[in-house]
Amino acid sequence: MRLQPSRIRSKYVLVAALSAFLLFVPFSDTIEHIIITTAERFFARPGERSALEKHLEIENIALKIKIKEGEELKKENEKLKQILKFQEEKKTLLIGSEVIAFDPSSWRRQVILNRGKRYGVKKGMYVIDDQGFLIGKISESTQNYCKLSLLSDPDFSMPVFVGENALGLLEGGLDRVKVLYIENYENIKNGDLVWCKPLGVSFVIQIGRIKNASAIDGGMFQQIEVKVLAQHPNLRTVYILR
Amino acid sequence: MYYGDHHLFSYAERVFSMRERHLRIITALAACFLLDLLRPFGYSVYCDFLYLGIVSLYLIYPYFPALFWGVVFGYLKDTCSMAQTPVNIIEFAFIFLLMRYLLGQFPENASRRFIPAIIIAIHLWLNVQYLAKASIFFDIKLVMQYTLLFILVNYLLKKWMKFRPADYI
Repeated sequence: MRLQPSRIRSKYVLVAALSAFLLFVPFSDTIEHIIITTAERFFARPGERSALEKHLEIENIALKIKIKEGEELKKENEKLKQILKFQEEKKTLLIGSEVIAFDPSSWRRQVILNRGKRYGVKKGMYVIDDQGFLIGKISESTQNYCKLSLLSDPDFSMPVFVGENALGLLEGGLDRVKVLYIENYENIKNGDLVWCKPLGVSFVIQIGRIKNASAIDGGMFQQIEVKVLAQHPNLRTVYILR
Repeated sequence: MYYGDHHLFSYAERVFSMRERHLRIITALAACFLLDLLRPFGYSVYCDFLYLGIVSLYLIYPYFPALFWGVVFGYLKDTCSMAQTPVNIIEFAFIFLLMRYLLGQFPENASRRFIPAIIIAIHLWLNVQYLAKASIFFDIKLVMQYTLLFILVNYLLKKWMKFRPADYI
């Protein structure tokens, strides 16, 4: 049976609505809040609420905004304190930097930061988050901007240590991060720490924990997957190690 | 020779409609480009919105002005990626030629479903093989996201470009 254009259209509208729904699943709380607020407004009869109630409602909203602002400031303050403590403990200098854009290609995991050669940022410098975990390294630096390659970038690679002192090569990937070239006789267990100690840095930088390690039959090296410690769903501020 | 006011009026209308169409193309592609650049959904959405927008644009408007805007936005994307080679310009120009050829060979309406599917499949296959180095589960997630978002982008772009739904599926 040949479908009528209107039916075809409705079918596509349905698919589009479904995909939009799938997209907005992470924001279900916000959507729920919007629906409830709209429903309340729709069913409330006009003239029912007094002027005092309206005034209180406005005051309530203003206070909520102030509380939110206070919470944000508190969080920022805690982060700054943490990073200051980190600097003092590790006796290192950090360059705080903001993320200004992402690489428009979805096949890369690179971000552009608002610090460049003018602030002493050079190619190859390591970048950490506010917890002190490694998130990537600088792959390019211009006068005012630099490009940070995240651990999940397919072109990312660096030498790392696993557990006590097994040396391997960390390789980035969009869906998983791996450690290559660790020989079968090395005793690697799930949960072992993956870390690095770059030249010129006096402390150990934690990268992740072993998620899955298995020996390949007939192969020389183990297949190792890493769970990265730095979680950055909304990457905004990062710190470059001098 | 004087052709009368009617001729002038229709010419002016045509110019205006062309200008409006170009403005609509620029706005739509700029929105897609901004989505790629600012990533409001973080890295949970893997799709190239600009790529989907360009494929959708070529599908509903397969003429040379679309190629021009495709190349312009490809250049912008290459510039922001700080890419050594203009991969996106080449890709968008190649897609245009391929789609134009395929649409010429298969002019029936049903072909408008499989042509973008072929184009997106080639794009995914090449990128997953040579760039992403990813697993099979990642591929499935990628195909699902690309398919759903392409349907959504195509639907919105058709609405935005004011194409009648009966003309294009």
